[in-house]
Formats: sequence, C-alpha cells, structure tokens
Amino acid sequence: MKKTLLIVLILSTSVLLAGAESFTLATYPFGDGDNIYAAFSTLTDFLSEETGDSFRLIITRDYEELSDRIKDGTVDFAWIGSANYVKTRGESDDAVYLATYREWSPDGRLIQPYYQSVILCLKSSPYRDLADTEGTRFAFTSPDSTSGYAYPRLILQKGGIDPDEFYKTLFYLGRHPHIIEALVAGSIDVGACSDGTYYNALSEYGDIFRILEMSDPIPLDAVVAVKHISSDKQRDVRRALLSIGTDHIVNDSIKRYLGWPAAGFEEKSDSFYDSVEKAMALINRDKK
Amino acid sequence: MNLFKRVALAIALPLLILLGALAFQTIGQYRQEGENIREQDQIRVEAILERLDSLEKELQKAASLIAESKDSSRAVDDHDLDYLYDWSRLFHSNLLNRVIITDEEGTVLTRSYDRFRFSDSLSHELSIGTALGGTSFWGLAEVDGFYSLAYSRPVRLYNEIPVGTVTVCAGSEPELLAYLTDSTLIDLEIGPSWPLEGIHERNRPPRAVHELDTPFDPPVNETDKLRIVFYESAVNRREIEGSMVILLLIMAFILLSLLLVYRVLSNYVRPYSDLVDSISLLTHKQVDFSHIRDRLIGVEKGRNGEAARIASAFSEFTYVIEKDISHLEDSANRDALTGLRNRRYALKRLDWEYWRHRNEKSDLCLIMADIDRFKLINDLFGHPFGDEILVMVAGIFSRICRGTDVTVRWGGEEFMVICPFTSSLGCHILAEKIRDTVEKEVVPRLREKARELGIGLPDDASPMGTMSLGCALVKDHDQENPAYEEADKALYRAKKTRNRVV
Repeated sequence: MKKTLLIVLILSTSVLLAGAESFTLATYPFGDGDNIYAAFSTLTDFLSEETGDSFRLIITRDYEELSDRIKDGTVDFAWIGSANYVKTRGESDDAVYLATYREWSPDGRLIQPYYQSVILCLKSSPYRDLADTEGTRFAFTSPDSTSGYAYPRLILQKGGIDPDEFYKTLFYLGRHPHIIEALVAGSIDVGACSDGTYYNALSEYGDIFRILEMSDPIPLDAVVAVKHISSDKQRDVRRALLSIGTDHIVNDSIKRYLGWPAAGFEEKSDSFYDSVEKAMALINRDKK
Repeated sequence: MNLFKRVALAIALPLLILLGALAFQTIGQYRQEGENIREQDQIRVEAILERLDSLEKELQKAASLIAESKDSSRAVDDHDLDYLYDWSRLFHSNLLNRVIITDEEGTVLTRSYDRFRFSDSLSHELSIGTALGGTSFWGLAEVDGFYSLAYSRPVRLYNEIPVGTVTVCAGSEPELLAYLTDSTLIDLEIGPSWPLEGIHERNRPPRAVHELDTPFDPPVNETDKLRIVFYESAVNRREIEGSMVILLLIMAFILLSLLLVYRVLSNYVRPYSDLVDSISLLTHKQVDFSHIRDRLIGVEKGRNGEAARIASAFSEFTYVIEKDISHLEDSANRDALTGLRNRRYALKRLDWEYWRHRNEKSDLCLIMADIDRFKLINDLFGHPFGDEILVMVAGIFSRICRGTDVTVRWGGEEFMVICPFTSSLGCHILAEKIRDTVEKEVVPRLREKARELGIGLPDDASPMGTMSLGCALVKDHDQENPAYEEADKALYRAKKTRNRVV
C-alpha cells in the first residue's frame, strides 16, 4: 500500500514538474540593451509567476532578425513593433496576436494603444515646414521601423515628397534616440522618430527641437506568440498581460528604464493593425 | 741638462705619459661608444620598420574584413549607419583608434571614435581620395585632422560596384609611438614639422634624427616625413657623463699636479740648479763675476730662503774673489817700487794699442826714456837714494802724462810712455816737457843730497840725473820688429849727448 502511494506521489510530482516549461520572449533593440533587460526582466518575472513557466528575454540584433526568428520558430513569444508585425504577418502566419501594449497620452489624461511618429529638426535651423528641407540631410531609424520609417515616409509621401530625390543624403541610424543625438551633433538636418523618443529628448536637451510634421496614430507594439505555442499557453500569457493594471510594477519598470509611459496591455483584434499594413502598402507601391 | 731640468723631466715625464694615456683612453672610449650607439641605432631602426610592416598588415586586414563583407558593403550602399558603426567598433582599439567609412562620394557614414559625427565629406583627403579613385592607400597622412598611419581601400558591392571607402588609422599619438618604440629606448616623432607639438616635448636636444624610408604607397609628401628621433636614455647619459667627468677630473688633477710640480721645482730646485750652473760657468770661465752675480740676483729674490742665503754668500764671495784677482792682476802688471806699469803689462798693452791703431787709423807714439848716469847716482848716494830718484821720476811721469797715456817702468832706470791718439809732434812736446821737469826737479835734489852728505859732485856730474828721451811714431809692430825698437834707437841717439829728446 505504501509502495503504491509512493509510486503515485513520484509520478504526480514528475507530471507537475514536466508541466513547467521554459519560454523565450524576444524583442527588438529599441534602446540600450542593459536598459531593455532591466525594464523587461520585471515583465518576464511576472509572466513566470503568473503562468508557472519560466521566461527568458532575448534581444535581437534588429527588426529583421526578430521577424526571421518568429518565422523560424526559434523564439516562443515576441514584443514586436507594429510595422514589423504587419510585415511578418504578411509573410507568414507564424505570429499569433495576443495583446497590444498601451501608454498614457503625453498630457497624462488618456490611456491609448497608439503613438505617433514625428519629423524633427532643431529650432535653431531655418526650416519651418517640410518644404523648406529640400537638399538637406535626412535620417530614418530603420526600414523596418514603424514610427522611424514607415509612417514618416507616409507623411512625406502625402506631402508629395520622394525622400530619395528630395533630400541630399538619407541615413539609417538604427535606433530612435540616435536621431536625437545626430540632430544635436549637427550630422543631420532632419530626422524621424517616435513621439516617445521626442518627449524623452525634451527632458534631456530641453525644448530645442521643432516638430515639422506628426503622423496619424500608429498602433503600439504587439505581443505575439509563435505558432508552435499551444493555445493554452497563448491564453495563459494573454491573460497575464491583460491583468497588468495601469499602476502595475511592470509599467513602473518600463517607465523607469525606457522612459515609456507604459499603461499595461489591452486586447485588440488582429485587424487593429490593418492601418499600418495599408500605410506600408502605400509606401511600397510608391517605392516601386 | 741642469739639475732643474733633470728633476722636472723625471717627475713630469711619467705624468705626461699618464695624461696622454688617459686622453687616448678617453678618445678610444668615445669612439667605441659611438660605434655601439650606431649599431644599436641600426637595430632599433630595423625593429621599428618591422613593427611598421606589422602595423600595415594589421590595418590592411581590418580594412579588408570590413570592405569585403557582403553585409557591410550593402550597409554602405544603404547608408545603414547603425550597422556600420557596430562593425567599425569591432576593429577599434587603442592602437587602431580610427575607423572611418564613407560612401562613394566621400561623405562620412561612420567614425568609430565619434558615433554621431557623420555626413561631412572627407573626399579631399589624400588617403580617402586615393581610395575613392579605386586604389588602396598606405602611408602617413592627415586623416580627419590627425596625422596617422592610414590604410584606405575602396568598398565594392559584390566585389565590383564601388559604393564607398573604408579607412583604418593608427593616429600619431602616444599609443602608436609607444607601440613602435617599445623596448627601443628611443622616441619617434611623426609629422610635418619637427618637433611635433604636443607629442614628445623634450627639454633636451635629440642626439640624432633619422628619416625613415618607408614603403608608403603613394609616396608621402616631402614635408610628411616619418622621423626617428634618438635621445640618450637618462641612464646611459648619466653613466657616460659620470665616466667622462671622472676622466676629466683625473686629467685636470694631473695637469694641476704638473703645475704644482713645476711650481715646487721652480721654487726649491731651480735656485740650487742656478747656483750649480753659476759655479759651473765660473769654473769654465765662460762668464765674468758680474754676470754670475746678475744670475744670482734671481735666486736671492726667490722664495727659497736657504738657496737665497747661499746665493747671497756666493755673490759676496765672488766680490772678494774678483777683488783679490784684480789686485793680483794689478800687482803682476805694476812695478812695485814706482807704482808704474811694468814691462810685462806694457808689452800686452802695446799689442792691444797697436791693434787699435791699425783698426782705427789713429796715431800711436812711443817714448823711451832713461835717467842719465843713474849708475853713478847709485854709486855716489847708495841704492836707497837711487830708488828715491826712481820714485821721484815716476811721479813726474804720472803727473805730466795724460790719462790716456800709459807710463811704464821699462826696466832699471828706463821708462816708456805709450801715447795713443798722439802725433809725432805731440810726442816730442810731451817728451820735452818730461825732460825739462826732470832736469828742474831731480838735478836740484841730487845737489841737495850731495850737500847733505858732504859729497862733492864730480865735474862731469852734469848732466847727471837728467833724462834722455827717444820718440817714435809707431808704424809696424810684431814679434820680429817690435814698435819700441824705433823709440829705443832714438833714445840711443839721445844718450850720446844726454839730457835731450830725439
């Protein structure tokens, strides 16, 4: 009898232990690596605690690598920019939408799953609108960036500007804060980045920048599961993300290390990102 | 060689030999040191050239890895600065401290040392301009405001389409100089002007400056030389200076010793040497007493008190000797009774006067005189009175004759007067004056003596005590025919009648 009970106990423990899985959460390098680790470690800890599994953070080299790894199935979950998500979604069905990150509005009164792209120059420069910037040096962040490339390009397109022709030189600086640094260093005349980067720069450099144009609202980053993850695990993770309130420790950590006015997550439909897809299609058509 | 010279030579010669040996040693040491330094310099230059070669390979390797990467060449074409900066940082180090990537127009896409400074053009610079032209550059050049050893090469998409350049530099900064000169104990300076400000400022001049023939391609500008500047290491310099100071001190000590020896010998040996020399000269009759005394004055005034006393005594001694010799000489040449010069002196003097007469073409006369009937005077009055008469006559000669005349007692009652610078007439006048004076003074004395003694003078006593004189103008004089013979012949003729001048 005792032997039977012992065997049952061992088997049940093994089953329980076998149920605790290890997952990876990947994200793109939108800032300093150490800060990203510090900000997202709270999130991975929270997910581990909520789901009973263990989560490990991976920072890819760029947007493209993140997209590739989702498609390759070498990561389990991903925090992905909207343009990159749309691009990945268009190429395969490997990314399964879970939730959308949201933020406080700049005035601190609203919580919204949007942000905007801005085209900036220095206030000390003679440029008052985009038309003045012809023949200058312009910088995007990366061709895979939503707010650093896709929407700024859309803004230019709507203004009848082909940046390849309109500007003297185009640069791709990778990360959003680099746009600010290059403007301050005088290496570029005009640059495009997210409004969050702009607001952070205000606190660091003061009101020395001039916004030439702002984009339409852009859906904020999405959290996706890779297709090989079971629907149960997808559900568990989504539920955990949606449980993060506006004054949650995960938001505090993101705000502290990345400067983003994080306000938790909400579930939108996959079609929420269709506007991004439309914007990118417009750009691609224009590029062809 | 006198005593002083012998002693001086005995002491100074070894010192001089030692001095010469030390000088030889010093020169030899300098030459050897120079040889060693040249050899070491050569080794050091070779070491630096090898390091330059190694550095070139390192720069070339880094530039090639960037330029030949498919991803990086595409990033250059796409102006993907984030990617290029990460690549440039992979090769950035303390030594390779500048990696610059430009597009095909020379516009800077990334600087490994200044992430957010880009978009300016460096196409005008030698290294990047060369790479934009499609060829590689290796050499010393000003890159982005810094003198650097630079390697530039084109970046080609698909190894075919030029899309930009990559330049890897080792700036002429302490790190590069330290890498090139490590363990060589030398300083390297690089740049268009020398010394290059701010790199190696020294408060001492360099020992040598070498300009390197580096295999730079294309050749560097004439003003952009790579120079190796050698300074003495502080340790070597101290050692060499120390040994040189010791050698110079020894040489100075020897020179001072020589001076001291000379001083001591001059003060304490030279006086004795001069004394010995003086005695030697006197012994060999090479100088007279006055010359000896002049030599001794220096010794008497010297610092050697003992030698001065000896010199003073010796000087006094020469006075005495000279006086005695003079007295002896005078006695030997003078008649003891009358005090006149004797025949011996007259013969020597006559030779000399005749020599002067011949050389100066002056007149020279002789007078031979004899007291008449002097034997009878001796017989009548005795020899003592005869001597008195002789003395009396000698006094007349001395009184009447001139200072230039030489009065001589020729022998017995005969006298001679040598009359230089005197004509025949003058001679006769003088002779007549003598004859007259003798007659007036001697004859009365004879009569007075005769009265005293009560002796009656014979009738033919007159002319007794008078004087006969023969004059002659000297024409020839030698051993065979002495000049006084003519005067003697004249006297003989005068004697025939007595109391007469012929």
